[in-house]
Amino acid sequence: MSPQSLTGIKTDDTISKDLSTVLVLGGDACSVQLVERLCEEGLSIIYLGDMGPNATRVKQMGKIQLIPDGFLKWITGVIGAFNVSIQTRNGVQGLKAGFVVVAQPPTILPKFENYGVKPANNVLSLSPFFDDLQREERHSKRKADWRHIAFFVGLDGAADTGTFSKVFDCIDILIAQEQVQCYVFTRHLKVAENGLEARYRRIREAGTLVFVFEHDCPVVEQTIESVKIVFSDSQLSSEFELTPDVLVIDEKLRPPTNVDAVRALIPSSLSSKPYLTVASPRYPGVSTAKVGVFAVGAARGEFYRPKIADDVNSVVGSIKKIVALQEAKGRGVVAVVEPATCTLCLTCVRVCPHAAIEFGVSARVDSDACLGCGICAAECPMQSIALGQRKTASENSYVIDQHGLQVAAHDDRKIVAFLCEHSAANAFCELSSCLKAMVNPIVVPCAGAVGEVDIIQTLLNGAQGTIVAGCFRGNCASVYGTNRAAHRVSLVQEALVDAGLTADRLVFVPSASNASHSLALAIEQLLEMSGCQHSRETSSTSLS
Amino acid sequence: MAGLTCAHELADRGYGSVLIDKAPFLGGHAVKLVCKATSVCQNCGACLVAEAIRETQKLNLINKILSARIERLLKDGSYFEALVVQEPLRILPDQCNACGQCFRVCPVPGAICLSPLICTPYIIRDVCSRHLGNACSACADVCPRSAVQLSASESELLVKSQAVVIATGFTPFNPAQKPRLGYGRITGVLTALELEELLRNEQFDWTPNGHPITRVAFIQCVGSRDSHLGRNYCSQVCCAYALRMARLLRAKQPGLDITVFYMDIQNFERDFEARLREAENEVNLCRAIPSEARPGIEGRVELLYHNNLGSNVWDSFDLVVLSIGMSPPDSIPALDFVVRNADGFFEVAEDDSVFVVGASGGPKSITESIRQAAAAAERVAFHLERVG
Repeated sequence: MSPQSLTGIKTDDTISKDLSTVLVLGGDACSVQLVERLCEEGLSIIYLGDMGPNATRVKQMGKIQLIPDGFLKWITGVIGAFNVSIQTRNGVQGLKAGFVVVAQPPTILPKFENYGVKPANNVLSLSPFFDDLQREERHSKRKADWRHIAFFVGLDGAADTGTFSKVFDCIDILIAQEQVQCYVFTRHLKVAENGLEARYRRIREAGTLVFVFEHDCPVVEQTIESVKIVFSDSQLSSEFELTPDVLVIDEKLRPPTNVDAVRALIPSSLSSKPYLTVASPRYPGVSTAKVGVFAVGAARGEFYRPKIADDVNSVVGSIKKIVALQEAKGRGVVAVVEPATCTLCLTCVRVCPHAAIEFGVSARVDSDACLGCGICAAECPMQSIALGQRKTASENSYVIDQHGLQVAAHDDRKIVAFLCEHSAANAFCELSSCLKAMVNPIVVPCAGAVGEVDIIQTLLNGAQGTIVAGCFRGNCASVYGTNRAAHRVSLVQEALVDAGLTADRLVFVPSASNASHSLALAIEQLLEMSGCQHSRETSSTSLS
Repeated sequence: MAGLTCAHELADRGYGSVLIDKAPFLGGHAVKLVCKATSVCQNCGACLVAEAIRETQKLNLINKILSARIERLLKDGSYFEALVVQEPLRILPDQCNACGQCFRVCPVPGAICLSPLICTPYIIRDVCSRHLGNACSACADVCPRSAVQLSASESELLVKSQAVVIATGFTPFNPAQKPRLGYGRITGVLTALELEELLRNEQFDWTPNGHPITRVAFIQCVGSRDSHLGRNYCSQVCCAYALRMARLLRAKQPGLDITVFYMDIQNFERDFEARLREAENEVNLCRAIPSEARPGIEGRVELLYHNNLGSNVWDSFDLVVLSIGMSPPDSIPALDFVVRNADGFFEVAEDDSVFVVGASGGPKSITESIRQAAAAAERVAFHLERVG
């Protein structure tokens, strides 16, 4: 990995950071609340999107630049220094921002085609129907001739709690008009939210009929004047016909589609398309793989209103934490580039899952955006990148942290294990002490930080076996670090076979913090292979 | 998990916190769950609990008081003063290095147990011979780090704080309330939580009664969405855990025949439909809730259910797993300003310095608890900023 010559590297950190401006790509119902909270924290806001009637009130709250008719053309840069280009009616506008929050409303796709019907006066999509109902309620003017209203919700198998909540809202308004009978046709009732099952029970008690279909979905016969639903009830084994006054069709809710500019900013987010946040339990909230970019609500795949409201607090909290960290210069271990040997091949730019690397005359890792996973250092063909820690808060000088990758040549422990600090290192702690004693553990920030050279070095130094232990695929904090690690292990294994050696002394072990079993098994197998006497009985967890 | 997340988030902002847990270890029910990864992560989040607990050991802004209960909580201006009472027989987790000597030397089986993570031991008071009046102090004598504390009486502590976060989690539904499902009566019927613990400790018996397990049934909504029991809510996690567990079992035993009996399958992940289709390839999904269980031949369990052809059938399984729901947490007598919502879970009546996080406020998965607690931590921090 990194040669000793990098020790005490100095970088040219000339980029000026501004952590006081937040670009909000708004439009979602919670984005006004978000702007209000950010203003309270003294941040200035660039708000792209229409704020409607709230605009005049919000404008008075702080330093807010409203761009209601703008379109985000492109965005580049890193936290504290995002360059934003916005197309407006008056031309292109260039702006700078410290943070980016994507808070756009979901893309609503009507499902007429899925059910083989056409939109008509009596066949409506859910959102317009709901908006209409609300408006009418406000003006207390009712559709007096409505008697029967049918809802198709997720009959194609796809629906979410947000849609059901909206259907129940409609029915609540409709059953206030006593003569209206509502029917709900669905496949799975989605009630996995607080209070939603109780609401479902209430609308049923109020007389709404709910039909659940497993396979034989209702058939709709649509003419110009009327719409007829033909369905069979498996329990009563008979056919029914219903001619409702209105058939309301549910909609598919998808993430906002106009976020390609933001996605281009975080190349690794392509793997979780159409969402902006990583599909991993390590990213349960608003944070994306790129520091300083947040996805709220629909952009992260959440469509249920009450939960989106939480996102406002999550964004504000995350921004405050980052600002506090930056002030303390306390980012910890980050990747550092030696400009003298960098050939600008841009491998690092390409592999960084957190999009923390920019380039000028040489590649430059942004110390605020870098999470120190070390994937770039392992991939750099010139070995110009190392992981290091800033010497002092004021100077841009780094102490190179080898993360123990320099393997001692004559360690009497037979097995070398590279352990991801997120998962495998924790699992290793749970192993029995006698098993631990047989292993030389090397804790790495991500399994992806272990290069082919590091692996071969362990074998050259006389290790009886080498383990690279990372997270399970889909659990990696650096999105695909563990995939790269597994790939590198297979490359070295191939090379060993090509060289006429056996590859079975090198293994990749996916592991989790709360499951040490797979790691224990791998160590035992390697010990057995090296002819080491080690009884199975003593190898299970320490006390049992 | 929610409490741990909240404490961490507050520590990140420089606020100290005191974690008071009635259990002798942190992590609640979540720490007992098994990693569901097959060859890929199944997004259950159980590993994050282990990580959060290990992280807590490094942070000195978080103080832990385990095996404790709150006896009294008073509010004086912007300060709370809690009287915390701690168990007399304790092994101090900060001193313990999990060497296991106390565990081995203890003369009473079951008096010293091991916590699910890091295997730190703790004493079960009601079993301990010292509590029963004997003068035994074997564990304390053998401990090389003086971590065993055998006091004569409970110890009292005063804790002052400016905010109270309630993260008491949920109570697992007791399936004995649905006697027809045979729990406790028929061997081979267990709760999902029991199966989790067995798998986690690698104590699961794949060949009970001499023959290997080939057919497994999961029964969903046991204690959820059940108006007869007054539970008009969905526990929100069971569909996910049953399907993940089913896939984990299949990964361990590829030929396993698994049937999941359900009412409606709830969304538990974004791109849920794709997840469900994947699961459908491995698991039989059967829309019916069995009404009765009876012992079958060779230790099997027979279930009576209404099949999709409209007739009642008895079907035989080697193992029946009850996907038990989340019940509201037990009352905390000292916290009289917390009320219960329509489903029986906690909510705060009128106090801007009291916060409810995690499953104590309504059923939540691990990742949902983390997400919600992180958002709540910001509200707590906001409150602390204002009171100064």
